[in-house]
Amino acid sequence: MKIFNIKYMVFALAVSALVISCNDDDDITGPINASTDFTGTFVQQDQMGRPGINTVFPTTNAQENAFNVTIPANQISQWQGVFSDKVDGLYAAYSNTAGTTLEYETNILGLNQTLLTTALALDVLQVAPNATGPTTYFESTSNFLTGRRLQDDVIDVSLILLFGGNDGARFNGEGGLPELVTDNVGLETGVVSPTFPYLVPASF
Amino acid sequence: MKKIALWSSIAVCAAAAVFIAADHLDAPAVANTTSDIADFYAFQGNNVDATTFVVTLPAGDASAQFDENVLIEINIDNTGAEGTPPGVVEDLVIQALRQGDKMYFFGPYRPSETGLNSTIDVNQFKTSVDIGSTKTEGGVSYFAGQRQDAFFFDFEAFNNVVATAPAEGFGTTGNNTFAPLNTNAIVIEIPNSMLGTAPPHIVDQLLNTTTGLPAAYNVWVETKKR
Repeated sequence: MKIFNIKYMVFALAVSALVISCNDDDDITGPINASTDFTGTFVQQDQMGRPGINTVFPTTNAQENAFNVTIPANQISQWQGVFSDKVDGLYAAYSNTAGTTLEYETNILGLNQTLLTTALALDVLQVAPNATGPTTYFESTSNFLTGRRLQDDVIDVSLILLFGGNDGARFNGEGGLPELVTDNVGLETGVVSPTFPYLVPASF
Repeated sequence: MKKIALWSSIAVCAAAAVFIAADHLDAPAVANTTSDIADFYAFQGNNVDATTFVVTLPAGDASAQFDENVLIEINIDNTGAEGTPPGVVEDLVIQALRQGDKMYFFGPYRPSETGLNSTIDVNQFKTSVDIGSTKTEGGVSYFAGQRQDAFFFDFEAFNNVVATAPAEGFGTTGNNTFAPLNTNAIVIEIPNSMLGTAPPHIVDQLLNTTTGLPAAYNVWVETKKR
């Protein structure tokens, strides 16, 4: 896939105590626990689309709290600028270490800092019902942004998009630069099951 | 804000890991509460004509339970971006609420209101599942219970990166901070026919172009407390 196209991809980067049937006759169809209660207004506490966005890009505790109650329809307008400032901060840290000024470089998908942070600010996940091949966060340059599987290495993908520069290999630990494009961690053996519900029992 | 100051704040807050997937260290208002979402996945499962949603919440020990007053709501946008700048709005919701020893599931259905507040339309009840069990009913598979955390990330190394900016960065070896952790999980595998028709991929919509990316639902999860 052409880089030209690739860049666009990431851009995006009663039942109360009564079980009421779905029929109109209102038959009680199931046993009900007397303590069952589905009434009331439920008020938003937390939200998540893509992994870790809120833990990374808002800068202050107040911003993190505010992001959790920003509906997706308003996320780009309210948060793109904040996220861009955070990217500046991340690069500034290594500028201090290196003694030179380091800045974000348009990434492997052709996303400049504004486009990347715009995509990240809209914190929703895409899943394609008719995808060709497995749905994935990023499997290859021809299959990406079609879902998020349990085994997808979303951290490395995210680090590459943030630090990898236009060839994906910037800050790869070579040439005196730090290793910032992988955490060198993969899926643990035996955590994912081939059958529903795809996660293995807890082990305390 | 000066960059150095910004950096310091990053280090202090830093739970903030870049892309700490499992959102285990979340905003202070929800961290260490029963509303804290750990992770969210959406993918094609064994049924190729269905979409699987996985939602996890941290479970520190075997006694950790889903909160009977915290609604878990999966939001599905099947009409695409709206507004200026473009954003998405939920067209359908799937709701899950524990009561007693069961998880009750509702939807998908079009909610009476969108946004920060939700109610449960009991007429949309689909089924209940014993906590710790799976069930398939009406073509939909359900699970609710404790499961190992599948997320993988060297969070400690990341904290070091953001706190001290070591010359080596992450270094050459990693340790999965989340390997020993467990979660309270709900998993739903639901036929795509129940989710409506997917809109053009959000990238195409936002850029008003054609990229070749397949049509895709925009999905996210929320926890809401009464």
